[in-house]
Amino acid sequence: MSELQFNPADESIQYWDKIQRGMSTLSVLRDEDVVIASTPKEVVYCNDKTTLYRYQPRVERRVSTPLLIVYSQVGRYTMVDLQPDRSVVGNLLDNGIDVYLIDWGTPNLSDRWIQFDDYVEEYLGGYVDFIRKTNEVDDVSLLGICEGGVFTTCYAALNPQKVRNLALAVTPIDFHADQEDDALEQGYLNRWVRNLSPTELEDLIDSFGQMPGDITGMIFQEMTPVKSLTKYNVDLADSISGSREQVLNFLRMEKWLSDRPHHPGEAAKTWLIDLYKKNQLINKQFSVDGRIVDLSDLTMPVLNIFANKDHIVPPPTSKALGHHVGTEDYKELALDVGHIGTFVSRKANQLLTDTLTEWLAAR
Amino acid sequence: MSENADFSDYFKQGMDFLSMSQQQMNDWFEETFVPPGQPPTMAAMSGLMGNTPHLDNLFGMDKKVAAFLEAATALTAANAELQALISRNWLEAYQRFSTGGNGATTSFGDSVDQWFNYANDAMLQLQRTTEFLEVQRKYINASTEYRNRYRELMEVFQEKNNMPTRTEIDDLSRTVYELKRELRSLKRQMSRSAEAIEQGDSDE
Repeated sequence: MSELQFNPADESIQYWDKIQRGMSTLSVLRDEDVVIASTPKEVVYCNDKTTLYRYQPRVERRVSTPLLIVYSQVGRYTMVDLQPDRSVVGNLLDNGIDVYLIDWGTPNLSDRWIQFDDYVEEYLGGYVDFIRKTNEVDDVSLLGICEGGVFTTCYAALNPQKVRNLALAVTPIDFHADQEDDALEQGYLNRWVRNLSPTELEDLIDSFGQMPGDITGMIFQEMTPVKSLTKYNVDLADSISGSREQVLNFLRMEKWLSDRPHHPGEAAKTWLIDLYKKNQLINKQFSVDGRIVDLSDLTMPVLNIFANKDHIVPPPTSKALGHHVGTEDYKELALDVGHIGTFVSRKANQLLTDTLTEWLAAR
Repeated sequence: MSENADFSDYFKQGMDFLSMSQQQMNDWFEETFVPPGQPPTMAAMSGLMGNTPHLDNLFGMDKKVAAFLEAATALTAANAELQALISRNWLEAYQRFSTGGNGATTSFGDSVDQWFNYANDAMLQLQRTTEFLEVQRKYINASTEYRNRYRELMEVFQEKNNMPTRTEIDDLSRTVYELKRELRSLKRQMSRSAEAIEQGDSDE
Protein backbone atom coordinates (compact mmCIF):
# COMPACT_ATOMS: atom_id res chain seq x y z
CA MET A 1 0.00 0.00 0.00
CA SER A 2 2.80 2.38 0.91
CA GLU A 3 4.30 2.13 -2.62
CA LEU A 4 1.23 3.75 -4.11
CA GLN A 5 1.31 7.39 -5.06
CA PHE A 6 -2.17 8.35 -3.90
CA ASN A 7 -3.27 11.91 -3.63
CA PRO A 8 -6.50 11.56 -1.65
CA ALA A 9 -7.10 15.32 -1.49
CA ASP A 10 -7.06 15.69 -5.29
CA GLU A 11 -9.24 12.63 -5.78
CA SER A 12 -11.70 13.85 -3.18
CA ILE A 13 -11.94 17.24 -4.89
CA GLN A 14 -12.51 15.53 -8.25
CA TYR A 15 -15.22 13.32 -6.76
CA TRP A 16 -17.11 16.21 -5.17
CA ASP A 17 -16.70 18.24 -8.34
CA LYS A 18 -18.47 15.44 -10.23
CA ILE A 19 -21.22 15.29 -7.63
CA GLN A 20 -21.67 19.06 -7.82
CA ARG A 21 -21.86 19.01 -11.63
CA GLY A 22 -24.33 16.14 -11.41
CA MET A 23 -26.51 17.96 -8.91
CA SER A 24 -26.51 21.04 -11.15
CA THR A 25 -27.73 18.95 -14.08
CA LEU A 26 -30.31 17.09 -11.99
CA SER A 27 -31.65 20.31 -10.49
CA VAL A 28 -32.82 21.59 -13.88
CA LEU A 29 -34.15 18.26 -15.16
CA ARG A 30 -37.79 17.32 -14.60
CA ASP A 31 -39.44 13.93 -14.85
CA GLU A 32 -41.11 14.98 -18.11
CA ASP A 33 -37.64 15.51 -19.62
CA VAL A 34 -36.94 11.81 -19.18
CA VAL A 35 -38.93 10.49 -22.11
CA ILE A 36 -38.89 6.83 -23.15
CA ALA A 37 -40.82 4.90 -25.81
CA SER A 38 -41.46 8.05 -27.82
CA THR A 39 -41.69 6.54 -31.32
CA PRO A 40 -45.21 7.36 -32.61
CA LYS A 41 -47.64 4.43 -32.51
CA GLU A 42 -51.35 3.77 -32.39
CA VAL A 43 -53.49 1.32 -30.45
CA VAL A 44 -55.02 -1.06 -32.95
CA TYR A 45 -56.51 -3.74 -30.69
CA CYS A 46 -56.92 -4.57 -26.98
CA ASN A 47 -57.65 -7.71 -25.03
CA ASP A 48 -58.04 -7.51 -21.23
CA LYS A 49 -55.10 -5.39 -20.04
CA THR A 50 -52.96 -6.17 -23.08
CA THR A 51 -52.64 -3.84 -26.07
CA LEU A 52 -51.51 -4.26 -29.65
CA TYR A 53 -49.67 -1.23 -31.06
CA ARG A 54 -48.79 -0.49 -34.65
CA TYR A 55 -45.90 1.93 -35.18
CA GLN A 56 -46.30 4.69 -37.73
CA PRO A 57 -44.29 3.81 -40.85
CA ARG A 58 -41.46 6.22 -41.70
CA VAL A 59 -40.42 5.02 -45.11
CA GLU A 60 -41.84 2.92 -47.92
CA ARG A 61 -42.32 -0.68 -46.85
CA ARG A 62 -39.37 -2.88 -47.82
CA VAL A 63 -40.59 -6.16 -46.32
CA SER A 64 -44.20 -7.10 -47.07
CA THR A 65 -44.80 -9.41 -44.07
CA PRO A 66 -45.62 -7.50 -40.87
CA LEU A 67 -43.37 -8.05 -37.85
CA LEU A 68 -44.87 -8.53 -34.39
CA ILE A 69 -42.55 -7.85 -31.43
CA VAL A 70 -43.38 -9.85 -28.31
CA TYR A 71 -41.64 -8.66 -25.17
CA SER A 72 -41.40 -10.44 -21.81
CA GLN A 73 -43.89 -10.01 -18.96
CA VAL A 74 -40.91 -9.73 -16.61
CA GLY A 75 -39.92 -6.25 -17.87
CA ARG A 76 -41.56 -3.50 -19.89
CA TYR A 77 -41.58 -3.32 -23.70
CA THR A 78 -40.25 0.25 -23.54
CA MET A 79 -36.75 -1.26 -23.56
CA VAL A 80 -36.96 -1.72 -27.35
CA ASP A 81 -37.63 2.00 -27.78
CA LEU A 82 -35.69 3.54 -24.91
CA GLN A 83 -34.46 6.59 -26.80
CA PRO A 84 -34.70 7.73 -30.41
CA ASP A 85 -31.04 7.17 -31.33
CA ARG A 86 -30.93 3.69 -29.80
CA SER A 87 -34.35 2.33 -30.66
CA VAL A 88 -34.81 -1.18 -32.01
CA VAL A 89 -38.27 -0.18 -33.17
CA GLY A 90 -36.99 3.06 -34.74
CA ASN A 91 -34.25 1.22 -36.64
CA LEU A 92 -36.73 -1.33 -37.99
CA LEU A 93 -39.09 1.44 -39.13
CA ASP A 94 -36.17 3.20 -40.85
CA ASN A 95 -35.44 -0.10 -42.60
CA GLY A 96 -38.97 -0.29 -44.02
CA ILE A 97 -40.49 -2.92 -41.72
CA ASP A 98 -44.15 -2.78 -40.69
CA VAL A 99 -43.85 -3.09 -36.90
CA TYR A 100 -46.48 -4.23 -34.41
CA LEU A 101 -45.83 -4.74 -30.69
CA ILE A 102 -47.69 -6.26 -27.75
CA ASP A 103 -47.80 -4.37 -24.46
CA TRP A 104 -48.75 -6.80 -21.68
CA GLY A 105 -49.99 -3.92 -19.53
CA THR A 106 -49.84 -3.71 -15.77
CA PRO A 107 -51.19 -6.87 -14.16
CA ASN A 108 -52.15 -6.82 -10.50
CA LEU A 109 -53.46 -9.33 -7.98
CA SER A 110 -56.81 -9.59 -9.80
CA ASP A 111 -54.88 -11.11 -12.75
CA ARG A 112 -53.22 -13.82 -10.71
CA TRP A 113 -55.11 -16.67 -12.44
CA ILE A 114 -53.99 -15.76 -15.97
CA GLN A 115 -52.10 -18.75 -17.34
CA PHE A 116 -49.08 -19.12 -19.57
CA ASP A 117 -51.48 -20.68 -22.12
CA ASP A 118 -53.45 -17.41 -22.21
CA TYR A 119 -50.33 -15.48 -23.15
CA VAL A 120 -49.60 -17.88 -26.00
CA GLU A 121 -52.99 -18.67 -27.53
CA GLU A 122 -55.44 -16.04 -26.28
CA TYR A 123 -53.33 -12.88 -26.40
CA LEU A 124 -50.46 -13.59 -28.83
CA GLY A 125 -52.61 -15.91 -30.97
CA GLY A 126 -55.47 -13.40 -31.03
CA TYR A 127 -53.16 -10.58 -32.11
CA VAL A 128 -51.53 -12.69 -34.82
CA ASP A 129 -55.01 -13.45 -36.23
CA PHE A 130 -55.92 -9.76 -36.06
CA ILE A 131 -52.78 -8.74 -37.99
CA ARG A 132 -53.31 -11.49 -40.57
CA LYS A 133 -56.90 -10.37 -41.10
CA THR A 134 -56.30 -6.61 -41.30
CA ASN A 135 -53.26 -7.01 -43.57
CA GLU A 136 -54.90 -9.79 -45.61
CA VAL A 137 -51.85 -12.02 -45.23
CA ASP A 138 -51.57 -15.72 -44.34
CA ASP A 139 -48.74 -15.34 -41.88
CA VAL A 140 -46.67 -12.85 -39.89
CA SER A 141 -43.07 -12.70 -38.69
CA LEU A 142 -42.40 -12.77 -34.96
CA LEU A 143 -39.60 -11.28 -32.87
CA GLY A 144 -39.78 -12.74 -29.36
CA ILE A 145 -37.66 -11.31 -26.57
CA CYS A 146 -36.66 -13.22 -23.41
CA GLU A 147 -39.86 -14.70 -21.93
CA GLY A 148 -41.66 -13.27 -24.96
CA GLY A 149 -39.34 -15.47 -27.00
CA VAL A 150 -40.71 -18.51 -25.20
CA PHE A 151 -44.30 -17.34 -25.88
CA THR A 152 -43.47 -16.98 -29.58
CA THR A 153 -41.56 -20.28 -29.75
CA CYS A 154 -44.56 -22.12 -28.30
CA TYR A 155 -46.98 -20.31 -30.58
CA ALA A 156 -44.87 -20.91 -33.68
CA ALA A 157 -44.43 -24.62 -32.89
CA LEU A 158 -48.18 -25.03 -32.38
CA ASN A 159 -49.23 -22.81 -35.31
CA PRO A 160 -46.42 -23.03 -37.90
CA GLN A 161 -48.78 -22.15 -40.77
CA LYS A 162 -49.33 -18.69 -39.29
CA VAL A 163 -45.66 -17.82 -38.71
CA ARG A 164 -43.54 -16.88 -41.71
CA ASN A 165 -40.29 -16.23 -39.80
CA LEU A 166 -39.34 -16.65 -36.15
CA ALA A 167 -36.67 -14.39 -34.66
CA LEU A 168 -35.71 -14.76 -31.02
CA ALA A 169 -33.58 -12.49 -28.87
CA VAL A 170 -31.99 -13.49 -25.52
CA THR A 171 -34.50 -16.33 -25.15
CA PRO A 172 -33.90 -19.31 -22.85
CA ILE A 173 -34.90 -22.65 -24.39
CA ASP A 174 -32.86 -25.24 -22.48
CA PHE A 175 -33.15 -23.85 -18.95
CA HIS A 176 -30.54 -26.23 -17.54
CA ALA A 177 -27.86 -25.56 -20.17
CA ASP A 178 -26.31 -22.93 -17.89
CA GLN A 179 -24.61 -25.87 -16.13
CA GLU A 180 -22.27 -26.18 -19.14
CA ASP A 181 -21.37 -22.51 -18.70
CA ASP A 182 -18.39 -21.64 -16.52
CA ALA A 183 -18.82 -17.84 -16.67
CA LEU A 184 -18.88 -16.74 -13.03
CA GLU A 185 -21.50 -14.04 -13.49
CA GLN A 186 -23.99 -16.19 -15.40
CA GLY A 187 -26.73 -18.59 -14.32
CA TYR A 188 -27.71 -17.08 -10.96
CA LEU A 189 -31.45 -17.16 -11.71
CA ASN A 190 -31.27 -20.74 -13.02
CA ARG A 191 -29.52 -21.91 -9.83
CA TRP A 192 -31.85 -19.83 -7.64
CA VAL A 193 -34.87 -21.65 -9.07
CA ARG A 194 -33.30 -25.13 -9.15
CA ASN A 195 -32.39 -24.74 -5.47
CA LEU A 196 -36.08 -24.68 -4.50
CA SER A 197 -38.50 -27.58 -4.79
CA PRO A 198 -41.64 -27.19 -6.95
CA THR A 199 -43.71 -26.97 -3.76
CA GLU A 200 -41.47 -24.25 -2.32
CA LEU A 201 -41.70 -22.26 -5.54
CA GLU A 202 -45.47 -22.68 -5.63
CA ASP A 203 -45.80 -21.59 -2.00
CA LEU A 204 -43.55 -18.58 -2.63
CA ILE A 205 -45.66 -17.36 -5.56
CA ASP A 206 -48.94 -18.13 -3.76
CA SER A 207 -47.83 -16.11 -0.75
CA PHE A 208 -47.63 -13.02 -3.00
CA GLY A 209 -50.42 -14.12 -5.33
CA GLN A 210 -48.10 -13.07 -8.15
CA MET A 211 -44.40 -12.57 -8.82
CA PRO A 212 -44.01 -8.94 -7.72
CA GLY A 213 -41.90 -6.72 -9.96
CA ASP A 214 -39.79 -5.47 -7.07
CA ILE A 215 -38.91 -9.04 -6.02
CA THR A 216 -37.87 -9.86 -9.57
CA GLY A 217 -35.81 -6.66 -9.61
CA MET A 218 -34.14 -7.65 -6.35
CA ILE A 219 -33.12 -11.03 -7.80
CA PHE A 220 -31.60 -9.23 -10.80
CA GLN A 221 -29.65 -6.95 -8.44
CA GLU A 222 -28.23 -10.02 -6.66
CA MET A 223 -26.66 -11.09 -9.96
CA THR A 224 -24.21 -8.18 -9.72
CA PRO A 225 -23.96 -7.94 -5.92
CA VAL A 226 -21.28 -5.29 -5.43
CA LYS A 227 -22.24 -3.18 -8.43
CA SER A 228 -25.77 -3.05 -7.01
CA LEU A 229 -24.36 -1.89 -3.66
CA THR A 230 -22.25 0.90 -5.18
CA LYS A 231 -24.60 2.09 -7.92
CA TYR A 232 -26.25 4.89 -5.97
CA ASN A 233 -23.22 6.03 -3.95
CA VAL A 234 -19.66 5.45 -5.21
CA ASP A 235 -20.63 5.05 -8.87
CA LEU A 236 -23.28 7.75 -8.83
CA ALA A 237 -20.75 10.56 -9.39
CA ASP A 238 -19.81 9.10 -12.78
CA SER A 239 -23.44 8.40 -13.69
CA ILE A 240 -24.65 11.96 -13.20
CA SER A 241 -21.62 14.12 -13.99
CA GLY A 242 -21.56 13.84 -17.77
CA SER A 243 -23.32 16.03 -20.32
CA ARG A 244 -27.06 16.61 -20.06
CA GLU A 245 -27.61 13.97 -22.75
CA GLN A 246 -25.45 11.41 -20.88
CA VAL A 247 -27.36 12.06 -17.66
CA LEU A 248 -30.63 11.65 -19.55
CA ASN A 249 -29.39 8.27 -20.86
CA PHE A 250 -28.78 7.20 -17.27
CA LEU A 251 -32.18 8.46 -16.14
CA ARG A 252 -34.02 6.80 -19.03
CA MET A 253 -32.59 3.47 -17.94
CA GLU A 254 -33.59 4.23 -14.34
CA LYS A 255 -37.11 5.00 -15.49
CA TRP A 256 -37.29 1.67 -17.28
CA LEU A 257 -35.83 -0.24 -14.31
CA SER A 258 -38.28 1.30 -11.86
CA ASP A 259 -41.25 0.30 -14.02
CA ARG A 260 -41.09 -3.46 -13.55
CA PRO A 261 -44.56 -5.03 -13.82
CA HIS A 262 -45.86 -7.83 -11.62
CA HIS A 263 -46.07 -11.26 -13.22
CA PRO A 264 -49.46 -13.00 -12.86
CA GLY A 265 -49.10 -15.84 -10.35
CA GLU A 266 -50.28 -18.88 -12.31
CA ALA A 267 -48.25 -17.92 -15.38
CA ALA A 268 -45.24 -17.29 -13.11
CA LYS A 269 -45.57 -20.84 -11.72
CA THR A 270 -45.38 -22.23 -15.25
CA TRP A 271 -42.40 -20.00 -16.04
CA LEU A 272 -40.45 -20.94 -12.93
CA ILE A 273 -41.57 -24.49 -12.16
CA ASP A 274 -42.38 -26.12 -15.52
CA LEU A 275 -39.70 -24.28 -17.49
CA TYR A 276 -36.86 -23.13 -15.22
CA LYS A 277 -37.13 -25.98 -12.73
CA LYS A 278 -38.40 -28.96 -14.75
CA ASN A 279 -37.00 -27.86 -18.13
CA GLN A 280 -40.09 -29.24 -19.88
CA LEU A 281 -39.75 -27.32 -23.15
CA ILE A 282 -36.57 -29.06 -24.26
CA ASN A 283 -37.88 -32.45 -23.11
CA LYS A 284 -41.13 -32.33 -25.14
CA GLN A 285 -43.18 -32.28 -21.94
CA PHE A 286 -44.40 -28.70 -22.06
CA SER A 287 -47.98 -28.19 -23.16
CA VAL A 288 -50.14 -25.19 -24.03
CA ASP A 289 -53.91 -25.65 -23.89
CA GLY A 290 -53.36 -29.40 -23.72
CA ARG A 291 -51.09 -29.57 -26.78
CA ILE A 292 -47.44 -30.62 -26.39
CA VAL A 293 -44.94 -28.09 -27.77
CA ASP A 294 -42.52 -29.94 -30.04
CA LEU A 295 -39.59 -27.75 -31.11
CA SER A 296 -39.10 -29.87 -34.23
CA ASP A 297 -42.36 -28.34 -35.45
CA LEU A 298 -40.46 -25.07 -35.89
CA THR A 299 -40.24 -25.53 -39.63
CA MET A 300 -40.11 -21.83 -40.55
CA PRO A 301 -36.81 -19.89 -40.83
CA VAL A 302 -35.37 -19.18 -37.38
CA LEU A 303 -32.96 -16.40 -36.37
CA ASN A 304 -31.60 -16.88 -32.85
CA ILE A 305 -29.94 -13.81 -31.30
CA PHE A 306 -28.12 -14.10 -27.99
CA ALA A 307 -25.70 -12.02 -25.93
CA ASN A 308 -22.32 -13.45 -24.92
CA LYS A 309 -22.23 -11.42 -21.69
CA ASP A 310 -25.85 -12.06 -20.73
CA HIS A 311 -25.98 -12.64 -16.96
CA ILE A 312 -29.77 -13.15 -16.96
CA VAL A 313 -30.13 -15.63 -19.84
CA PRO A 314 -26.83 -17.57 -20.17
CA PRO A 315 -25.93 -17.98 -23.88
CA PRO A 316 -25.93 -21.84 -23.79
CA THR A 317 -29.60 -21.79 -22.71
CA SER A 318 -30.43 -19.88 -25.92
CA LYS A 319 -28.04 -21.63 -28.28
CA ALA A 320 -29.58 -25.00 -27.40
CA LEU A 321 -32.47 -24.20 -29.74
CA GLY A 322 -30.27 -24.97 -32.76
CA HIS A 323 -30.22 -28.69 -31.88
CA HIS A 324 -33.99 -29.00 -31.77
CA VAL A 325 -35.58 -26.96 -34.56
CA GLY A 326 -37.15 -28.71 -37.53
CA THR A 327 -35.80 -26.29 -40.14
CA GLU A 328 -32.57 -26.22 -42.11
CA ASP A 329 -32.86 -22.43 -42.30
CA TYR A 330 -31.48 -21.72 -38.82
CA LYS A 331 -29.15 -18.79 -38.18
CA GLU A 332 -27.49 -17.40 -35.05
CA LEU A 333 -26.28 -13.91 -34.19
CA ALA A 334 -24.00 -13.56 -31.14
CA LEU A 335 -23.68 -10.05 -29.73
CA ASP A 336 -20.80 -9.13 -27.45
CA VAL A 337 -22.98 -7.36 -24.88
CA GLY A 338 -25.23 -8.16 -21.92
CA HIS A 339 -28.97 -8.89 -21.76
CA ILE A 340 -30.12 -5.27 -21.84
CA GLY A 341 -27.16 -4.07 -23.91
CA THR A 342 -28.64 -6.11 -26.77
CA PHE A 343 -31.32 -3.41 -27.11
CA VAL A 344 -29.69 -0.25 -25.79
CA SER A 345 -26.06 -0.47 -26.86
CA ARG A 346 -25.83 1.73 -29.97
CA LYS A 347 -23.59 -0.72 -31.81
CA ALA A 348 -25.41 -3.89 -30.74
CA ASN A 349 -28.94 -2.72 -31.46
CA GLN A 350 -27.90 -1.44 -34.90
CA LEU A 351 -26.29 -4.80 -35.68
CA LEU A 352 -29.37 -6.61 -34.39
CA THR A 353 -31.83 -4.60 -36.46
CA ASP A 354 -29.68 -4.57 -39.62
CA THR A 355 -29.19 -8.34 -39.42
CA LEU A 356 -32.88 -8.88 -38.72
CA THR A 357 -33.93 -6.65 -41.61
CA GLU A 358 -31.65 -8.40 -44.12
CA TRP A 359 -32.79 -11.78 -42.83
CA LEU A 360 -36.49 -10.87 -43.12
CA ALA A 361 -36.06 -9.24 -46.53
CA ALA A 362 -34.51 -12.43 -47.91
CA ARG A 363 -37.43 -14.55 -46.67
CA MET B 1 4.02 -3.60 13.55
CA SER B 2 3.41 -3.95 9.85
CA GLU B 3 0.16 -2.90 8.21
CA ASN B 4 -0.60 -6.58 7.60
CA ALA B 5 -0.22 -7.41 11.29
CA ASP B 6 -2.54 -4.51 12.17
CA PHE B 7 -5.02 -5.73 9.66
CA SER B 8 -4.85 -9.30 11.02
CA ASP B 9 -5.64 -7.97 14.50
CA TYR B 10 -8.63 -6.02 13.22
CA PHE B 11 -9.75 -8.98 11.20
CA LYS B 12 -9.54 -11.31 14.20
CA GLN B 13 -11.52 -8.86 16.31
CA GLY B 14 -14.12 -8.64 13.57
CA MET B 15 -14.41 -12.42 13.32
CA ASP B 16 -14.63 -12.79 17.12
CA PHE B 17 -17.42 -10.24 17.24
CA LEU B 18 -19.19 -11.97 14.38
CA SER B 19 -18.97 -15.38 16.09
CA MET B 20 -20.23 -13.92 19.38
CA SER B 21 -23.18 -12.21 17.64
CA GLN B 22 -24.00 -15.41 15.78
CA GLN B 23 -24.02 -17.39 19.04
CA GLN B 24 -26.26 -14.81 20.70
CA MET B 25 -28.67 -14.92 17.78
CA ASN B 26 -28.70 -18.73 17.86
CA ASP B 27 -29.41 -18.67 21.61
CA TRP B 28 -32.13 -16.10 21.21
CA PHE B 29 -33.94 -18.16 18.65
CA GLU B 30 -33.46 -21.45 20.44
CA GLU B 31 -36.84 -22.33 21.92
CA THR B 32 -35.48 -24.10 24.98
CA PHE B 33 -32.89 -21.49 25.88
CA VAL B 34 -33.58 -19.30 28.90
CA PRO B 35 -30.76 -16.89 29.78
CA PRO B 36 -29.77 -17.23 33.48
CA GLY B 37 -31.85 -14.91 35.69
CA GLN B 38 -33.79 -13.54 32.72
CA PRO B 39 -37.28 -14.02 31.26
CA PRO B 40 -37.76 -16.61 28.49
CA THR B 41 -36.72 -15.67 24.96
CA MET B 42 -39.13 -14.63 22.20
CA ALA B 43 -38.92 -18.08 20.62
CA ALA B 44 -39.67 -19.76 23.94
CA MET B 45 -42.69 -17.46 24.42
CA SER B 46 -44.15 -18.19 21.00
CA GLY B 47 -43.46 -21.90 21.51
CA LEU B 48 -45.31 -21.74 24.80
CA MET B 49 -48.28 -19.97 23.20
CA GLY B 50 -48.38 -22.41 20.32
CA ASN B 51 -48.40 -25.43 22.64
CA THR B 52 -51.22 -24.31 24.95
CA PRO B 53 -54.64 -25.92 24.55
CA HIS B 54 -56.99 -24.25 22.07
CA LEU B 55 -59.32 -21.81 23.88
CA ASP B 56 -62.67 -21.23 22.20
CA ASN B 57 -63.22 -17.75 23.68
CA LEU B 58 -60.24 -16.42 21.68
CA PHE B 59 -61.70 -17.61 18.33
CA GLY B 60 -58.36 -19.13 17.29
CA MET B 61 -56.69 -15.74 17.48
CA ASP B 62 -54.18 -17.00 20.06
CA LYS B 63 -52.97 -19.70 17.68
CA LYS B 64 -52.65 -17.22 14.83
CA VAL B 65 -50.66 -14.80 16.96
CA ALA B 66 -48.40 -17.65 18.11
CA ALA B 67 -47.90 -18.86 14.53
CA PHE B 68 -47.09 -15.32 13.42
CA LEU B 69 -44.57 -14.83 16.24
CA GLU B 70 -42.94 -18.13 15.44
CA ALA B 71 -42.70 -17.25 11.74
CA ALA B 72 -41.31 -13.79 12.53
CA THR B 73 -38.69 -15.36 14.81
CA ALA B 74 -37.72 -17.93 12.21
CA LEU B 75 -37.42 -15.23 9.52
CA THR B 76 -35.19 -13.05 11.70
CA ALA B 77 -32.99 -16.06 12.47
CA ALA B 78 -32.77 -17.07 8.81
CA ASN B 79 -31.92 -13.51 7.83
CA ALA B 80 -29.22 -13.33 10.53
CA GLU B 81 -27.72 -16.58 9.28
CA LEU B 82 -27.67 -15.32 5.68
CA GLN B 83 -26.17 -11.95 6.65
CA ALA B 84 -23.54 -13.66 8.80
CA LEU B 85 -22.50 -15.88 5.92
CA ILE B 86 -22.25 -12.91 3.54
CA SER B 87 -20.34 -10.83 6.12
CA ARG B 88 -17.87 -13.64 6.77
CA ASN B 89 -17.27 -14.06 3.06
CA TRP B 90 -16.81 -10.29 2.69
CA LEU B 91 -14.28 -10.12 5.54
CA GLU B 92 -12.35 -13.13 4.31
CA ALA B 93 -12.24 -11.66 0.79
CA TYR B 94 -10.90 -8.40 2.19
CA GLN B 95 -8.23 -10.25 4.13
CA ARG B 96 -7.10 -12.07 0.98
CA PHE B 97 -7.25 -8.87 -1.07
CA SER B 98 -5.29 -6.75 1.38
CA THR B 99 -2.54 -9.30 1.87
CA GLY B 100 -2.43 -10.75 -1.62
CA GLY B 101 -0.71 -7.99 -3.61
CA ASN B 102 -3.20 -6.98 -6.25
CA GLY B 103 -1.01 -5.09 -8.65
CA ALA B 104 -0.03 -1.45 -8.72
CA THR B 105 -2.68 1.21 -8.83
CA THR B 106 -2.18 4.87 -9.49
CA SER B 107 -5.06 6.32 -7.54
CA PHE B 108 -7.30 5.69 -4.57
CA GLY B 109 -10.22 5.40 -6.98
CA ASP B 110 -8.46 2.64 -8.95
CA SER B 111 -7.66 0.82 -5.74
CA VAL B 112 -11.29 0.97 -4.62
CA ASP B 113 -12.43 -0.25 -8.04
CA GLN B 114 -9.99 -3.16 -7.80
CA TRP B 115 -11.40 -4.09 -4.40
CA PHE B 116 -14.99 -3.86 -5.61
CA ASN B 117 -14.24 -6.14 -8.55
CA TYR B 118 -12.47 -8.58 -6.25
CA ALA B 119 -15.34 -8.47 -3.74
CA ASN B 120 -17.90 -8.94 -6.52
CA ASP B 121 -16.13 -12.08 -7.75
CA ALA B 122 -15.90 -13.36 -4.17
CA MET B 123 -19.65 -12.85 -3.71
CA LEU B 124 -20.43 -14.56 -7.03
CA GLN B 125 -18.28 -17.51 -5.96
CA LEU B 126 -20.10 -17.64 -2.62
CA GLN B 127 -23.47 -17.67 -4.39
CA ARG B 128 -22.45 -20.92 -6.10
CA THR B 129 -21.62 -22.77 -2.88
CA THR B 130 -23.87 -25.42 -1.34
CA GLU B 131 -23.67 -23.61 2.00
CA PHE B 132 -25.00 -20.36 0.52
CA LEU B 133 -27.74 -22.08 -1.45
CA GLU B 134 -28.94 -23.92 1.65
CA VAL B 135 -28.99 -20.76 3.80
CA GLN B 136 -30.69 -18.80 1.03
CA ARG B 137 -33.33 -21.54 0.64
CA LYS B 138 -34.05 -21.39 4.38
CA TYR B 139 -34.41 -17.61 4.18
CA ILE B 140 -36.80 -17.75 1.19
CA ASN B 141 -38.97 -20.38 2.87
CA ALA B 142 -38.99 -18.46 6.15
CA SER B 143 -40.14 -15.34 4.30
CA THR B 144 -42.93 -17.31 2.60
CA GLU B 145 -44.09 -18.67 5.97
CA TYR B 146 -43.95 -15.19 7.52
CA ARG B 147 -46.10 -13.66 4.75
CA ASN B 148 -48.68 -16.44 5.08
CA ARG B 149 -48.95 -16.15 8.86
CA TYR B 150 -49.09 -12.34 8.67
CA ARG B 151 -51.88 -12.58 6.12
CA GLU B 152 -53.85 -14.92 8.38
CA LEU B 153 -53.59 -12.44 11.20
CA MET B 154 -54.55 -9.50 8.99
CA GLU B 155 -57.57 -11.36 7.68
CA VAL B 156 -58.92 -11.70 11.21
CA PHE B 157 -58.75 -7.92 11.55
CA GLN B 158 -60.24 -7.38 8.08
CA GLU B 159 -63.16 -9.73 8.71
CA LYS B 160 -63.95 -8.08 12.04
CA ASN B 161 -64.02 -4.69 10.32
CA ASN B 162 -66.05 -5.67 7.25
CA MET B 163 -63.09 -5.27 4.94
CA PRO B 164 -62.47 -7.61 1.96
CA THR B 165 -59.71 -10.14 2.56
CA ARG B 166 -57.08 -11.44 0.10
CA THR B 167 -58.75 -14.85 0.25
CA GLU B 168 -62.11 -13.36 -0.76
CA ILE B 169 -60.55 -11.32 -3.58
CA ASP B 170 -58.72 -14.43 -4.82
CA ASP B 171 -62.00 -16.35 -4.83
CA LEU B 172 -63.78 -13.61 -6.77
CA SER B 173 -61.01 -13.05 -9.31
CA ARG B 174 -60.77 -16.81 -9.90
CA THR B 175 -64.51 -17.01 -10.56
CA VAL B 176 -64.33 -14.10 -13.02
CA TYR B 177 -61.27 -15.61 -14.74
CA GLU B 178 -62.90 -19.02 -15.14
CA LEU B 179 -66.13 -17.53 -16.46
CA LYS B 180 -64.20 -15.45 -18.97
CA ARG B 181 -62.26 -18.50 -20.13
CA GLU B 182 -65.49 -20.47 -20.51
CA LEU B 183 -67.09 -17.61 -22.44
CA ARG B 184 -64.14 -17.40 -24.83
CA SER B 185 -64.24 -21.11 -25.40
CA LEU B 186 -67.97 -20.95 -26.21
CA LYS B 187 -67.40 -18.03 -28.60
CA ARG B 188 -64.71 -20.00 -30.42
CA GLN B 189 -67.01 -23.03 -30.69
CA MET B 190 -69.84 -20.85 -32.03
CA SER B 191 -67.50 -19.22 -34.52
CA ARG B 192 -66.29 -22.61 -35.73
CA SER B 193 -69.89 -23.84 -36.03
CA ALA B 194 -70.86 -20.74 -38.00
CA GLU B 195 -67.88 -21.23 -40.34
CA ALA B 196 -68.81 -24.89 -40.83
CA ILE B 197 -72.40 -23.94 -41.70
CA GLU B 198 -71.18 -21.25 -44.14
CA GLN B 199 -68.82 -23.76 -45.69
CA GLY B 200 -71.71 -26.25 -46.02
CA ASP B 201 -73.91 -23.60 -47.69
CA SER B 202 -71.24 -22.66 -50.19
CA ASP B 203 -70.57 -26.33 -51.01
CA GLU B 204 -74.25 -26.79 -51.84
